[in-house]
Amino acid sequence: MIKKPDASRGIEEVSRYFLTGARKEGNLIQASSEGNVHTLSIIHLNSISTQAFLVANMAIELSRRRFNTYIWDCQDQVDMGARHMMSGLSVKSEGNAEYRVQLYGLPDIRIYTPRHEHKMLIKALEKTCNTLHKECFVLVNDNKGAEFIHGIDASMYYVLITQTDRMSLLRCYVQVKSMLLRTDSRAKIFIIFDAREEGLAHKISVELSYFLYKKLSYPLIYLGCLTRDEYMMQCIENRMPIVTSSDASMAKGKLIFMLDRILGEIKTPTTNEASAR
Amino acid sequence: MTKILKPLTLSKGRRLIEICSDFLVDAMDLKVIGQGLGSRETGVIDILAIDKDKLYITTVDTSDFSDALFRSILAYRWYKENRGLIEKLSTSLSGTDNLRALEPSLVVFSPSPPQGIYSALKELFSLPVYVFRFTLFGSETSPEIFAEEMDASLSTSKPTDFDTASIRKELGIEASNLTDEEIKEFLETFRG
Repeated sequence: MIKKPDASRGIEEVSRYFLTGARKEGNLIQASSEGNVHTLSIIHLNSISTQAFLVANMAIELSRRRFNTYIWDCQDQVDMGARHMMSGLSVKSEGNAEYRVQLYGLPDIRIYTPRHEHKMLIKALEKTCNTLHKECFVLVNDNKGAEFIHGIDASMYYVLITQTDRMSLLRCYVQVKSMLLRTDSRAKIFIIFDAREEGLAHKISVELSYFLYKKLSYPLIYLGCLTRDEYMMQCIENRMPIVTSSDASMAKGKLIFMLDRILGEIKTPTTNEASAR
Repeated sequence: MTKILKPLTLSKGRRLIEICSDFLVDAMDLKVIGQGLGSRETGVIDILAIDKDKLYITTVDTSDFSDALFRSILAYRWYKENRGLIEKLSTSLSGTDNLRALEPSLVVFSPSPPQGIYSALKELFSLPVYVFRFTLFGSETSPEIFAEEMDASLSTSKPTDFDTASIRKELGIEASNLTDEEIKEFLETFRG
């Protein structure tokens, strides 16, 4: 019997329309004929809970854009880590230190804890993504600078969030230097300042870029200041994502904007990457 | 807004002068009372700025330092010959009427001033001289300037003594391959 086209739409199609950006101009990274795994490591040098919040929200936003998203949660401890930051959602244990966040109509987010061997995990994910012909993201809720990334043959992107006092900036410099050493300068590092004064942060970004270029010949990619509004603080406290909320929030807008910029940069390979290939 | 802060060379000298002028206002808290005063034959003041004590005759190095220094001297001569005109101009443009009371000084912005130039100029000139080394970052449409004053007294003075071992311990960066000099230089840069 020939199946007639449905007059109504399935839940997945409706969800995609209303919950994702798919109806808009199109995602920044188009589905390629071959799968590709992008590893994005997120480190807040001053706050583990803000870091977990950013990881959780970036993962949900990537899922909203129909990317298969995985979290490698190195901060998974009691009441900490990305899955705890998403405990307001449906998080199910899959056994073997693996969790699934169900987003209904969007790709599920899978969370892996440090008990998984990272190299094997990335290889398995690469295989899955290649089979699915999909662009996938592995977000790393990082612990002390992602030493384990070393030696993995995958794209290496880092988001470094730091406060702007000089000791925090020195730690940030140390991180950038070690990441570049570890990756033969192939890493792309996005810097976000966790500061209240946008103007002062801007001035510091210029000073930092001067120092980074003088010492490491590395151009700073500055994404701006993290905006902490009351709504964001409530979301952190209630373990709820901010990116899917319908309420107006400066923090939410800024976060989505930053992710847009990161995806824009991942799309364009740097000269270093191009020459390394 | 995302900024990829790569070093930048601007092709337009006019734009560079505007950026340096903004720096004098934003970072040095000066008041700019004129730009491009004079003529190429007799001398041009790229930027004329003031604070409550001094008048800053500013030249921006758009090609090479020796050319900029020569232009700076010509600009000072032009200023001396046309002081009356500048006073009228500053009164009408910015309401500043005590220009004669201000001490004139020379400022040169350059991306690559020669080593030791500050002390040499200080010995040669009777009026105060300031040399700024600058680097531009960003893009042509959204450039950023980092400028630092070359000061002989600063470069010869003993740098602040930092206890690098305790800093390493405090920040948990003992395992990093940062040298003591690198840590000191970093902390000096961000001492503000």
